[in-house]
Parts: sequence; structure tokens; C-alpha cells
Amino acid sequence: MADRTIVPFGPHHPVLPEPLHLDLVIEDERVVEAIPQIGFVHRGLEKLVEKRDFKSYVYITERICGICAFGHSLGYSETVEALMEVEVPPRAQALRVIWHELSRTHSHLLWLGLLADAFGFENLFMQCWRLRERVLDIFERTTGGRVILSACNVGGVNHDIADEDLQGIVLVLEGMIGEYKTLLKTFMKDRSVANRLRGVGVLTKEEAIGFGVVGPFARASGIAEDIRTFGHGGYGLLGSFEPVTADECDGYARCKVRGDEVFQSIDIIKEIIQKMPEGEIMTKVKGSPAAGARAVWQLEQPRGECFYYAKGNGTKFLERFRIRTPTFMNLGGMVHTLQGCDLADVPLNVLTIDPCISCSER
Amino acid sequence: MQAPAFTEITLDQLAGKLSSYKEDGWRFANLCGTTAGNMVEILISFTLDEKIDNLLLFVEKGVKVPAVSKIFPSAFLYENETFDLYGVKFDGTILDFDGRFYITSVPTPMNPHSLAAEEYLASSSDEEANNG
Repeated sequence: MADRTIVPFGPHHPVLPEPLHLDLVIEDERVVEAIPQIGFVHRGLEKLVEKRDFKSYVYITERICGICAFGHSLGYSETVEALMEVEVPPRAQALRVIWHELSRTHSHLLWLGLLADAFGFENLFMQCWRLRERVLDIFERTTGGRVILSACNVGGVNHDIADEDLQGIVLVLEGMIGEYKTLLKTFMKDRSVANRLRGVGVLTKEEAIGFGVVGPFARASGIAEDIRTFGHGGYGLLGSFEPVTADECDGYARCKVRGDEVFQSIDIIKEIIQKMPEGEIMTKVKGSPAAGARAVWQLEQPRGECFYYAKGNGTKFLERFRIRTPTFMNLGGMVHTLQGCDLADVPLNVLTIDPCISCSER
Repeated sequence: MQAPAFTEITLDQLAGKLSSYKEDGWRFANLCGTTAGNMVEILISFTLDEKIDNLLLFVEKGVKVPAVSKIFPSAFLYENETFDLYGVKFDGTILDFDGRFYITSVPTPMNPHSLAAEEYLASSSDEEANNG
């Protein structure tokens, strides 16, 4: 048996956009164990709920993560609305779906670019991010922000989108499809991409269920679970749709699932624009969450199911707000996929779960 | 969406509850602490399709909670987080970081019995002065 060595990986590594540390126990070039450590960017944002009233805390939730910014403000708003039994106008719910699916589109395009960058395909990386810019342009036109949108609020949304702008969104997205198909073809058909991803980081369906992984990571292992299909909020306005899944259970499958989810998001946006309800965009929220009231909520973020919990105490401040992010759920599964892989495959393997450490640490 | 249930249980009931959730195919979804007077309230959540079930435990100072990760392995990160922030120890965690999972300036900052940051820093500097 070869001698065992511990190789530290991270928190600073060219492939990691955010700080994650792994102690990799290796024999020769093969990883036999990986021990994770986080905590480098813990900001105590959950604790801050005691200092910011429930209406202004929505702007804190947007700053948890730059990629899921809108998603977190949406998840927070929906949790507080469940806590206070607030009825949100249908038009506001539909607008939320548009911004949330645009966020998923830009998140997946960002990830595809990072993946291309990780295996040294610089041109592909730039093309993905060039396409992503068009989604950010839609954000800027409809909300004034490109990353932090400040569009969602407890009771509804802060901005409406005019009908001509809604049609403009459809035109931009339809214009992207041709170019995106060409990009995705490169990911799916290029031999060098397949060499780096096929058979790497396998997590079987049984293992995925055991580790409780969520989102594209789970769906790439054949688990057909997507919170959007439950019809919460504005998703209830849509016709039924199936989660995008793959059965290969490896890095290639994760790329395929995210790649196809971009098409799904575009279809959802087009459908919701067709069915756009008329009316108000905000319900006025009066009072404070009742003492002892509790609510939990699930939201399908780009990286998977996010779980929210809120508890009221009768004041304008919440007693507790908890955000369990998808990456926190996926770390156990990720560590498992590292066992037995080559040291050279570790960076790419970590990246295939699309880790968001800022979200996880809050 | 069906209204999620919140069930208060005792420490003795936890192991049995966890086993029955596992047998019935529920997925572990969340574990978190909340300061509740002199105690820490532990919330453990499970999901099955569209259903959500929540268990509530109230833990006094120094009491160890049976590890959830022995039955639901993905809970090990939550157990380490709850120890680092709230000081609640889980007995038999499958991977125990022993307080080094989160980097905090004050040990267990959200535990009701912890020293406030200023007291902690003052006591640390006293110790250093005595040792020095």
C-alpha cells in the first residue's frame, strides 16, 4: 500500500470562485478521503434578523449571494408571507417567476463558463459569459440593477414590467436560443470536454438519496425532484412540466441537466408572459408576525432546493430566520464523489456541484 | 401547499422518530438552533414530496442530543454548525470537527450561556497577562 499524504486544497484555488477548504488524503495520485472545512466568509446574516425589521431585512437577504440574489429575496418574502398569511397579487407572482427564471438562466450560463474555464477552454468561457450579459441587460432594463435587483418585497414586487418590455424579453430570449444551442453542442459533443467529465465524480441514485442531495446535482443522478413542479407561488399559474433529469450520474450529466434547464427556464418565461395576469403588484402588509408563529418554505434555486424557516415574536423583528442553502445540502455528496477520484480531477469535480460558499455560510 | 406540522418532542423520543422518518422514506431537509430563554430550541425538518414535517426539541445547558447524522448522514454539517454557534453537542456525529467547522471570534456566540464578545476578549487578555 502506498504511503498516505494529506494535500490541502483551497480556500484559495484558481478553480474556486469562493473559499472552501478540503484536506485531501491521497495514496499516490488517488484521493481516499476528503475532509471539508468552511467558515471563511461567515457573516452572521441570520443573526442580523434581530436588528433589521422584517420589511427591511429583504434587502439583506439579497446580499447573501450575488448569483441567487433575487432568489433569496423571493424565498424570504414568501416565507414571511406564509408566516403572516399575506395574499400576493397574481401579477406580482408572475413577475417574480420571470425574474427568478432569468436568474436561473444567468446562473447556469455563469456556471457553464466557469466549467469551461476550469478545463482550459477559454473561448467557450467567454462565449457563455457574453450570452449571460443579455440576461443582465434585461435585469437592468426592468429593475435598474444587474446583480442586486431590489425587485421583490414582502407582499409583492417593487417594479412592474410594461407589456412592450415583456415582449422585448421574449425577443431577447428567442434571439439567444440559436447561439446557446451552438455553445451547448460544444459542451455535449466536444471530445476534450467529454474526456474531462464522463465517468468523473459519479454519485449513484441510491447514494444521492442517502446524502439527500438536491437540485441539478440530484437530478443528474436520476432523481426527478424539482420544487417548481409543486406549483408554489407563481409557478401555480403554469401548466405542468417535468424536471430535467439524466441517468449518467457523473460530471457530464450535471452539465447536461443545467444546459437543458436553460431551455426550460426560457419556455417558462415565455409561458408566464403569455398568461400574464392584470392588476396590482403589491399587497400592503400591516402589523407584525405573531408571537410564536412559525413558517417553513421551499424554493428551487438555480443550485437546488433552498429551505427557509421563520419564527415571529410579536414585534417587527423576527425571532429567527434560517436559510438552508442547496450547497450546504450537497457538500456531503460532493465529498463522497471525491473519494477514489484522481487528484487532477478534484477541482473539476468540486465545480460540477456548482458550490456557493457565500450562500452556505450566510 | 399543505400546512407544515411542528411537533414538540423530548430527547428520549428523538431516536425513534428519526428511524420512523427514515423507514417511511422522508428526506432530511434542515437542522438549526434558536435561542429560547435559557435553552436552545432545535428544529429538525424532513420532506417527502410536497409534505414538510418539523420536530422541535428544547435543550438545556450541557445536555447532549443523539446524533441525527447516524441515520441521516448529510446532517453532520448541521450538527457541527449547531455546536459551533449554539454550543449544543450531538452525541455520535459521524464527522466531528470539534468546534473548528466555523471560524468564530467568540466560542458558541449564540448560546444563551456564552460570554458576550467583550467579556470573552477581556477574559482572554487576562489569561494572556497571567501566562505572560
